[in-house]
Amino acid sequence: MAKTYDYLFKLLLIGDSGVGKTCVLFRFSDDSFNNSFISTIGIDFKIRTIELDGKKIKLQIWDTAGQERFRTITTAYYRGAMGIILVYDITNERSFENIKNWIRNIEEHAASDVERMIIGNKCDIEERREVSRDRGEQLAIEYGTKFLETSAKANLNIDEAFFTLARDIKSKMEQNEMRAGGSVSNTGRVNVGGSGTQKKSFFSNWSCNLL
Amino acid sequence: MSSSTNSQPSALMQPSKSPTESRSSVVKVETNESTYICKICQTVVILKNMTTEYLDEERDLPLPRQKKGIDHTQTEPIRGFFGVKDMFAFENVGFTRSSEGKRYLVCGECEQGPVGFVDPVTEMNYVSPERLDVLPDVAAAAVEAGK
Ligand SMILES: Nc1nc2c(ncn2[C@@H]2O[C@H](COP(=O)(O)OP(=O)(O)O)[C@@H](O)[C@H]2O)c(=O)[nH]1
Ligand SMILES: [Mg+2]
Ligand SMILES: [Zn+2]
Repeated sequence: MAKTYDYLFKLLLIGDSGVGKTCVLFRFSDDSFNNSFISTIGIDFKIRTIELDGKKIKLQIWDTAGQERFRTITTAYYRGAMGIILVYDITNERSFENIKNWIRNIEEHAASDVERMIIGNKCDIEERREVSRDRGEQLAIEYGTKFLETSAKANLNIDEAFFTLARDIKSKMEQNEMRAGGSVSNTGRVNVGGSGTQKKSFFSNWSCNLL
Repeated sequence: MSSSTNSQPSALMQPSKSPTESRSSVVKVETNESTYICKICQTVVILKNMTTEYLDEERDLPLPRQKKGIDHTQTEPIRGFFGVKDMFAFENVGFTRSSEGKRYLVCGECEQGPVGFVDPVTEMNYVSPERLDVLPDVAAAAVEAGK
């Protein structure tokens, strides 16, 4: 079958246990899902289709299976990754300090040209904040990455984070293509539209109680 | 649960053999003529003409909502699935972790499901039209016109 998209990006979520990685990927649309089959067994990865500058892009977004608790994230998980979202919890100083260790882990195990981004999650609980936005921004500058504060709970900046990372990967690939002198990749483009990413979803029904 | 595919553990090793020859007649070469959307959030799960076969067979799928206080997975038999090998044929879909050796497909936006399953032997991805809605023609035309 003809290729029906322009780019395919594999993205990963990385960070300490408890910072909200699974919630960033997982959105329950309704409280009764607490009792659902899916929330019990969990999701390995999602495929989302987005459109950027008229290009159709497939994102394959992976969640860890909890290996980060034992710091055993290794080459197998990173294989093929083109983008990594580093997540800390703004209410947890330690998770912020550990971003440095995660970056070291990435440098050791992931491809050297992998695109990175840092997000400070749980920005809906301002009263328990331990890490200022300014420190988050400084860290991102230090590592030359983009930065966003997010809330998986309030669905704040989550789509933006994926779009930002996808856009950065796409620009890098287009630059590489130009440098290689080739024309833009073969595009058997079909009608796009309808992909759910335009939809603003589910602010009210917060219920990310994971097992 | 019947399993027409389990008798073909070497199917992957024999790319020259067409799947319709090697499997039973419950598998037809047939594509999905409608775009399918999530029943809950209406996100497009798969565009029309993306699948490559139709499995005319009954399979048990877990109920989206499980009753409390029951220690086994409640399922219902569902007949008829569109199948495609390439997971990137989907617009928006989630793949579950394995449960009792089986992996399932869910809506890529809101995780409702299962809306399908992955065949553990052939690694074909099967979606159930019954667990999804058809995108109405008017909306489909708008999608094709570019939004
Ligand atoms: N207030 C708030 N809680 C969150 C947010 N994201 C996740 N959580 C909670 O943080 C805990 C850990 O989340 P989880 O996604 O399992 O973290 P993971 O270990 O990184 O995958 C859970 O109790 C979530 O409900 C958020 O944005 N705001
Ligand atoms: Mg997790
Ligand atoms: Zn949905």
